[in-house]
Amino acid sequence: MGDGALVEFASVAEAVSCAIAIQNSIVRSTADDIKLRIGINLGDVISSGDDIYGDGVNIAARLEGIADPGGICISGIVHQSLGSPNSGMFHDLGPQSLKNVTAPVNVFAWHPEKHAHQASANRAPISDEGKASIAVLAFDNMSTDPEQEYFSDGIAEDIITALSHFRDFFVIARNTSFTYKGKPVRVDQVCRDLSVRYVLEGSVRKAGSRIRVTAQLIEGKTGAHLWADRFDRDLTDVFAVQDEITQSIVTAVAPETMGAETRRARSKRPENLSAWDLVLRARWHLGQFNRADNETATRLLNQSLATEPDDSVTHATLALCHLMAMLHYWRTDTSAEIKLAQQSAEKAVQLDSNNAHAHAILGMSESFARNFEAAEKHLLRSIDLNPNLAMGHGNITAYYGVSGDYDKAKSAYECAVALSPRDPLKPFWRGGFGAAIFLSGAYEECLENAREGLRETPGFASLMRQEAAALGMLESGDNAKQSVQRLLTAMPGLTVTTVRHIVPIRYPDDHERWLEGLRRAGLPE
Amino acid sequence: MRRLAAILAADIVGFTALMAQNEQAALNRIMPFAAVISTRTSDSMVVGW
Repeated sequence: MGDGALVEFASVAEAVSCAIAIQNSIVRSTADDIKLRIGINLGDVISSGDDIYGDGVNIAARLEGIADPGGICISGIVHQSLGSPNSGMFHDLGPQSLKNVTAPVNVFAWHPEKHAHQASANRAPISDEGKASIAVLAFDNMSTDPEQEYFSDGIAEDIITALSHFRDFFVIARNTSFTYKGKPVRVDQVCRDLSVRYVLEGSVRKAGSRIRVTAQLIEGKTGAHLWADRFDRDLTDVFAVQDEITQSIVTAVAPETMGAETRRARSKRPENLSAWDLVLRARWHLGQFNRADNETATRLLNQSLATEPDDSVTHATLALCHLMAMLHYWRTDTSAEIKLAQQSAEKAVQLDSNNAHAHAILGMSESFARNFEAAEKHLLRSIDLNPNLAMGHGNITAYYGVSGDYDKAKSAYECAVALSPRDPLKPFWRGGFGAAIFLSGAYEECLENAREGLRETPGFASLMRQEAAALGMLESGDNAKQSVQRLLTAMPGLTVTTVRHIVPIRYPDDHERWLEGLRRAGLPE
Repeated sequence: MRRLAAILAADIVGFTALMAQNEQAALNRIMPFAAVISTRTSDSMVVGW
């Protein structure tokens, strides 16, 4: 047995689920041409030192020998002990003569391709229409202690609850996704059964006072791992550890899913786009921050609303398009754009009053409309509804920023970026924090922040204005003039007066000082 | 000591040839499968790999 491995399990179901997991992990890593044969038997074993032997072992080795590459062969007694439905994944090869085994052994076989083939023959392909769904499977409890099942179930349940506050995808209810608990499952099978596009699975293993949690997000169609992570923690406070790990997993899963969804929508042929695909594409265009893409985004959203007029997220995204067009001076009737944004965002909240995303954008619209109390109310409501939604924290950064509250703006900005480090709206949030830095009088820091943001997102309007205003206050003549030149190239016709209407600095003294920065840099009145 | 157990035997197709070509590379390719086994067997006994 020098080339292989022998693994002893206390349970037939565990042995089979491990075998299927190994074979599926090979199928998933498609680049690899490596193939394993696996055999499983139930019988007496004798251990001696580091080795095990006996008839139980011999027959397992022989079963392995007759398995197809990539496949699994199990003996009749293993098949019997498996019970349905897992026994149904194997097909009967009948009695087989095995080398050096006197009596024929009943053999059952499993093969990934055959299995996938069977599954696809009688089931619809994995859903490609509408919003994505995620199934969070019960995390496997790898400890012998059944008490740990409270922990492994608890983590999956908490993740389901947290993910259900997002409006960009659906989450399968616990009672449904937990029906797979303790069974060897294939991800593509789960995706077909539940018509979901993504599966989150994981495991919990305890050793002494340490706990190890693993989690992986898998795309059903390709079997690709979108994200995987491992958390090793001391179990000093079970609930704190559970909360922290849940939070880390949710924080990764939400943006990874949306990233995969955006790639999916962008790779589809234009004639096959669903209303939701149009929204995903629109968001991508919106995140490019230029005039043409902003117009494309607006057009796609209106196209989506023509078939699905009542989607809250679509209206909220349209509001965002208006605000970005206003902020960048691509549309020069500032107050009209703010009004349109308010209307779309209000509609989004009306359609789904528990949509944290809609509240975040309504709060942002109200800030620009100078309704600061309403702005704060909706932004806090957004965070309350979904504390894991980056946009709630990001948009409230801008509210605190224009209100001159440096400390709150800083912590909200850090929170938003921690939740979604590559978010398309990050430059807006950074600009919000930048306003707070400017108003605190730390012009060097404001300049540094603006420049760092412009390296990531060149041409983002708020950051360009902050760069110019900070340079104006720092009285660095030529640099200030150059930054105003860049500003006027990007936003022709921009003046101190137009900026007064665009940027809603809350308090009059602050507002004048902010405009003074631009004036000193050389922006025309 | 004799006991009843479920035994899983696994082998890599053409592993001897792989080992002959490049021993370290062959061992590296086994690692992911060994990892799957190790996360799924808390009390099980593993021989080989």
